[in-house]
Amino acid sequence: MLAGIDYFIVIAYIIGMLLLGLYFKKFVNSSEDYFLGGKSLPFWAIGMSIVVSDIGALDFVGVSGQAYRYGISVGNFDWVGSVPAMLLAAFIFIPYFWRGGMYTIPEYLGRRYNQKVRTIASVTWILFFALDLGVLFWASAVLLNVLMGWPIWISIVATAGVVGLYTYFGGITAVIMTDVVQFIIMFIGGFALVFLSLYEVGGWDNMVDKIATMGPEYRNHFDIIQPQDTKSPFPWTGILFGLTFVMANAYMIGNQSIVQRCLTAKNEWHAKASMIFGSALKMFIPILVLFPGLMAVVVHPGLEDGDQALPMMIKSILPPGLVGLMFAAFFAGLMSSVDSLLNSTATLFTKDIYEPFIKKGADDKHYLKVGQITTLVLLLIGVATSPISSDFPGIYVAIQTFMSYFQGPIFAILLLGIFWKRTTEWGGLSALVIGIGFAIYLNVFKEQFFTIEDPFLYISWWSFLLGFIINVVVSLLTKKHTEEQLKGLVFSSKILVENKKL
Amino acid sequence: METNEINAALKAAQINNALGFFIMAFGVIVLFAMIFTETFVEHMTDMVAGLILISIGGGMMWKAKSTIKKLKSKKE
Amino acid sequence: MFNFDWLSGVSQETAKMIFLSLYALIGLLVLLLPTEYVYQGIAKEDRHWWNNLKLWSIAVLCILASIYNHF
Repeated sequence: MLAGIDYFIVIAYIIGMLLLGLYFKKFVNSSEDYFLGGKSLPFWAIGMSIVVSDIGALDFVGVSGQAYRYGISVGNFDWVGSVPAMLLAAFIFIPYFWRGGMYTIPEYLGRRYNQKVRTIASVTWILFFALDLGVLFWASAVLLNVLMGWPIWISIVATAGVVGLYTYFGGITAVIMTDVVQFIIMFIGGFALVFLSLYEVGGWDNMVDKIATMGPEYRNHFDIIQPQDTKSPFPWTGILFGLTFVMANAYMIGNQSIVQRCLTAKNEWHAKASMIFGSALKMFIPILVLFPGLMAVVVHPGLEDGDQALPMMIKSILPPGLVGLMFAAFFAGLMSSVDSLLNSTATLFTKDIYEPFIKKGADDKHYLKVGQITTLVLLLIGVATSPISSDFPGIYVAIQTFMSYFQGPIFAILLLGIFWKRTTEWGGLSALVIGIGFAIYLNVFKEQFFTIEDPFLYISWWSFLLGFIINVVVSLLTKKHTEEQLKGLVFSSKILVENKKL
Repeated sequence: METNEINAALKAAQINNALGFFIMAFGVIVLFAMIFTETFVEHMTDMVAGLILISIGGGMMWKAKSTIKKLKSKKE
Repeated sequence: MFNFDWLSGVSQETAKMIFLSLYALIGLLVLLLPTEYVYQGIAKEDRHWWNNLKLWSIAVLCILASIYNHF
């Protein structure tokens, strides 16, 4: 449990976030303000927010733990797993979504394919996001319980109260700007940790030498490219096909909370720049989360649970004050995951379900109210379902695995939708349904198909490939869309040279 | 500049002002935490981290304040 | 087939070269974009070389390539 100044810092952070979020209430006057920040935000804030929302506290601890066990190859997820995908998003996909004035990705899928594809994608996301909320509330409560000694229920209500209030009042502006604060605090605390850990282990070269002498299982700890037959979950084939070609793109292009952030930019240049700036920042993330895990191999050798590596390093290396700051950043990581989920789900529900199916053509204030009420309802669902996590401890991993089933097929239909005019609504629909089904099948019988322990990279690649092929075959067999229907939805070299709005 | 643009810039500056204040406050707390440190290295780490936070936060506030002043005079 | 065992003959060095060539290819594609497109959104008179997103992308790719070259 934290004591003294560190306890005070975590409390101050929570209260400060609440006040800051409430302050942003004055900038919300329309549904565009609530869902897209009035399209007025600068690239640096969005870039920082993209990076931060990607690393919640759970990943923070998990990545250090994996670095402790498998070495530097974990960094692939932030390096090759981000930069190429973010450049593709910046230069091809984001300008399309931006010029089309869209709010959600299913909205694009609806215009490009049909309403069914839009609804399937949207409903699946809403369901999983809502389930995820309960899990994250529980995780925050456990963290607060350990750090501050508060009872679980008080911790849940405190987290829900703070995050709920600022998301309810401030919308996406509050979500992004609280991320900026978290980013700055996390980077300063993280660099202090790396600096002090390097001092502790006697410099980088010394650490490499020490780890090299620790035994055969540490032999590949400094190889970023792991051989195809490695025992770790990260063989280079999985990194190239599964991560670089599919999962990274699906995450940066097909993830509502990421794309929605870019759409808050004040103009097209800021939207593109936010992604590229984010990719530059992303390259520093492994320094913050991976290096402490590696250094823990020397400072705390023989840990049974690698996930303990980062918390132990923080407690044993950082001075009072910065310990509190780092744990506040941890907690903020959880809060930022919760606020992204709340805001994105409210956007998906209002734009893809409520507006087309429940009440068309209402005035803007009405949709703003619906967005806010949805946020509140989701918050209550999250709080009510959070105890499920204590009964089923594996649920977070289960939800993440389920989410990964969608990545391959969703990216296949987005990619073909934007690059190939001939793709039809039936092609897209069948690729989505069959692709997801195939991913579930591969996962259920994974022992029979795969030799590595956790083959999620391979599953995403093969389900993408099948979705892609199905989409092509079915599209060729069905009636093609007219030029009029495809206007502004399919990539053409014209977008690069012509200056007009789509 | 149009009124809309001025309002948008004003909004951005007000947001930066609030963020700057928040970050600076944390810098002050970390600087204050120096008195709880034991070794020289810990002492220096808190000091450097605190000063960086204060300068980032202070810089943001200073920039925002001057922008707000400029925009308000333009509006009138 | 699902385990990519047909690629087991490729050495780690060759694999690294595949990643590095991928970055070079992306860099080349970025350079091929029309300059007008990367400045879109900024008024003509406010365009400076530091707003050129091609330069940003190339810088990011260079850092990325040097990381993969080193480890």
